[in-house]
Amino acid sequence: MSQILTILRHTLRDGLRSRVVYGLGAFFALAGWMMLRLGGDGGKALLSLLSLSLALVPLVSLTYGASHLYQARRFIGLMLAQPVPRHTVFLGLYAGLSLPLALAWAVGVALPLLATGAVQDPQALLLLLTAGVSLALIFSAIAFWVSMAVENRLKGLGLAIGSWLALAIGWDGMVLMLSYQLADYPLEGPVLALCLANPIDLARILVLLRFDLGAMMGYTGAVFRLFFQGNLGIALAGLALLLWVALPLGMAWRAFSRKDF
Amino acid sequence: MIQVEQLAKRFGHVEALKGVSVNVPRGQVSALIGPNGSGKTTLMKCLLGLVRPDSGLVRLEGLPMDGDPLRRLWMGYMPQVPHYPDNLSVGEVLDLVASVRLAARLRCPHAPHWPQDEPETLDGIFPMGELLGRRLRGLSGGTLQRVGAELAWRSGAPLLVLDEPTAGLDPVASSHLKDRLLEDRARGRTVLISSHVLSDLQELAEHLIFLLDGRVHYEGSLAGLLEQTGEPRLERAVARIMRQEAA
Repeated sequence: MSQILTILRHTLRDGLRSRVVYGLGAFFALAGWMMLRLGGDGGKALLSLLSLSLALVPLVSLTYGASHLYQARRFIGLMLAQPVPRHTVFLGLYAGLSLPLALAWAVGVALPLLATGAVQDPQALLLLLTAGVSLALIFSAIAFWVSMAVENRLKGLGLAIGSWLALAIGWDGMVLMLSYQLADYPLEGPVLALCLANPIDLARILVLLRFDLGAMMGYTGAVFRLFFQGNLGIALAGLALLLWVALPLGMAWRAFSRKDF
Repeated sequence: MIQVEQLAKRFGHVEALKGVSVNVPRGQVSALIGPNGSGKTTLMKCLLGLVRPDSGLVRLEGLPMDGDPLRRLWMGYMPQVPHYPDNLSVGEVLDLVASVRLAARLRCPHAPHWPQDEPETLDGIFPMGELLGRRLRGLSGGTLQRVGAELAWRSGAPLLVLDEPTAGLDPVASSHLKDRLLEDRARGRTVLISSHVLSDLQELAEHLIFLLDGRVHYEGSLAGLLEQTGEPRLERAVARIMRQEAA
């Protein structure tokens, strides 16, 4: 236990001093402050921050995470040459990568909203924070998996950016195309499955279930709300996001435990 | 101290080790030599558990290295090209490695320490004082190499595994490190060292392991190899063997 705390203390210290981490927090603090200044109330600013976070948190987690870990390979080798179990090094590295990103984003988002007293609905802010922190944890884990499973750094970064493009940009198009092409069939079941298969979509639905904004829900969100309304829906989306952290993290551990350094 | 039995490792189409069996005798400096791609670094990494062999066995003090991380208390490692987290200071990295080793030592109190009951550093030859507070980002390759050497020696391990330890060091630092190795040799420490600078190894090594294309071409004393090839210098002896192999 003391070994993992030691590694965690040092990797967190390294992460919390990173310019990317500071930049992420500062960007969201500035964005939130500007949205409030430009006339939006707390709810509107929160939703605008949600849209921005759904795109940027996964992208930054993937690209920063993957490039950080490719660069850290020789350091990982040095740590594994010490009398430390592999899983200890793995957990220390993952926490040191994902927690500073999640923390910087959460502080950046919460600071202007709380400082100006603009948030009327604390549960909505809590849901936004849960969604963003989950995305940072999930996409850091995907970055970890990519950097361990793909030897070539350029290919790994390409795969990381490709997976972001597919989940953040291409997904809605695919759902729309499917719903158009298969309009004659009952699609609720498959769409619900698709919604659970994309953590970005899940994070969006998690927050929007708190608001009554049909326009932002999209097709998948509308179907999700049809099945699971109110707190049940929020709990289910939250649980699905938690499972989404475990899935890539499990894959990353599998790759890490078998890798030659 | 270490026995390697029929170690084989393949990376894709490349067979890095083809059934390597060697010994690293206790209390001696063993040199691992061979051209680029002969399997030296892979063999060292197999000993440390960084690379998992496809088949074969590594024994430490007669017991198999069966993946128990505490067995690495016996080994201090200096990598060929070190890399450390950019945003940590030299002192923090030294503290990180020292702390995880101390935690392991508390769980394995019978692990030997070198030298007994004496904290060990390279401070005499590479003073760390002014470096301790400096961030690792932006330090020169030679300075990073000195940090790597400090980490290996501070481990207090009875066996040092050094991969190209003098690469990147200036002549003064390199000469200091060789002096320190000679001192350790005189006190009976076990060292496994790989280097392309064969003149250095001729000064240091008593035992030679010569790898060629993933196989052991020669294992034995330095004097034995010189006698076998009829050459006065290690460099010439190795060149002769490689010319014969190429012919």
